[in-house]
Amino acid sequence: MPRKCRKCQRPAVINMRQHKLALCADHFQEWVVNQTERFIKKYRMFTHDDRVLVAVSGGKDSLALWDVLLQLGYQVDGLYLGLGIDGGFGYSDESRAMCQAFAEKHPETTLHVLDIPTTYGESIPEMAARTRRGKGKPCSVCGLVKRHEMNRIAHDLGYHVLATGHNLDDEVAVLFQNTLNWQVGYLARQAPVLPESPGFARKVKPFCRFYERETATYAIVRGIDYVYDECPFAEGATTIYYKELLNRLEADKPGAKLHFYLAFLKARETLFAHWQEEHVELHPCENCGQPTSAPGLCTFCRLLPEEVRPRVRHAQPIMVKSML
Amino acid sequence: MGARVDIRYRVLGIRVVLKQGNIQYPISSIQYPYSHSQFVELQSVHVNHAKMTTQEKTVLVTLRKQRWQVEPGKTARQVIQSLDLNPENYLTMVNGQLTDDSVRLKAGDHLKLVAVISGGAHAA
Repeated sequence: MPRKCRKCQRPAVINMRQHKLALCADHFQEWVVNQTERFIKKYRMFTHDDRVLVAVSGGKDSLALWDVLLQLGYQVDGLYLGLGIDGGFGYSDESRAMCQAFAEKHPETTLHVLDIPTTYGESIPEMAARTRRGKGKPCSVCGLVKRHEMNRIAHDLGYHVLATGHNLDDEVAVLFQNTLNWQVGYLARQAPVLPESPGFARKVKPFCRFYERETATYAIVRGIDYVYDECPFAEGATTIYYKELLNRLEADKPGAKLHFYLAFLKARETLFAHWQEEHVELHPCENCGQPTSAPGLCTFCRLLPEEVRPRVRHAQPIMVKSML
Repeated sequence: MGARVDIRYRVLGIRVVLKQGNIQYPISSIQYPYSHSQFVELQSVHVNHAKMTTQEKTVLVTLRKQRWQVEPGKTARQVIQSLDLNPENYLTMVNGQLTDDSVRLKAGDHLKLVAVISGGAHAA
C-alpha cells in the first residue's frame, strides 16, 4: 500500500524521512508555507515592514521561494539577472521566460530584469574567456557578477533585504566543502542571515532548512513552471558531486544532512564568536562606490574593461510589471 | 490498464462489443455513449495477455532522455535502486501524478523520475 498523508490519509506525494512525515499535496503546501514563516521568524530574517527582493533564476528554488513569500503577504519583488548563457538550448532565455511567466500570474509583484550582455557588452562566458578568473569555467565570474549586481540593485531600488532560494542541500554541500578544506573564514560567514552593513544589503535564505526534493515537490504541486535543465556549465561541478555524496549518506541515515547543518549552526555560535568580532576595514570602490577590502577598484569593476566601467554607476534593471 | 481488452456490453438485450483494443485509462473512467441508459450493463471485460505488447507487460521508466523497461510488482523506490540510482536524488511521477516512492508499479505504468539536484547558479 502506498504511504498515506499523516493528516488526512489521502495518498502522500512526499515522504520526508528526516521528519518521519508523509504528506499529500495540499498538506505539503501548507506545511512548506508554515515552516518558511517559522524559519523567517526564528532567524529574524525580515518582517512585513521590510521590502524584500528575491533573486530569481527561473529554477525551482527561487520561484518556489517567491511564491511562498507572496502567499505569506510579504512585500516581495523579483530580480532576474540575464547572464547570456546559451548552452545550445537558450538557457538564459528560457530562465527569463519562466520568471516572466511567474510574474505575469501574480499582479501584486514586480520583476526587475537586468541583462548583463546588454548592460556591459559581454555575456558571462565572454567575460570569463577574456579574464584570468574564468579559466575553463565561468562559474567564478558568474558568482562575482551576481553578488555585485544583486547587492547594487537591491541598494539602488531601496530594498532592505535580498533573499535567495538556497536550500539545505546547497548549504550542506558548501559546508562540507569548506570543512574539507578548513576554510574558516567561509565557515564563519555561513548562516541563514548575513546582516546588513554599510553598503551591503541584508542577505537571507528562508529555504535553508528544506531539502532540495522538498522545494522541487513544492514547485510541482503548485504548478510552477521552472527550468528543469541545469546550467550547461554546472556539469561536473564540485557542488553537485558533494550533493550526490551527501545523498548517499542520507539514503542510509535519514536526517544526516539536516543534523549536519543544524549542529553546525549551533556550534558556530561558540566556534566563531571571536572571529565575528574581528573588523575588516572596507573602502568604497573608486568606480561604483560599493565597499571593497582593498583601496581602489572592487573586484567586479576590475573585471570590466576600462571604457565600460562608468556604466556600473547608471545601469538600472528594466521593471517588468505584472499583467502587462 | 495498458492491457489489450475487449469490453462487452448488453444493449437492449443485444450483446455488442463496445470497445476493443488498447485501453490506457481506468475502465471506471471511460465515458460510454450509453452510460445513462438503464438498458446498458457491463457484461464482461476480457484481458488478452497474449496480445499485450512489451510496454503493456512492463513498467516504462524515464529519466530525461533515458528509458528503461522493468518488471512490474516493485515499488518505485525499489525500481530506482535496481537501476543503481539513489532515490534521494529523484522525485517520482507515476502516470503523470506526483507520488511518494512507496507506490507499487503495475504493468503499463509509466514511472517518470524527476531529478532534484541542481548546482551552483541560484540567480542565473
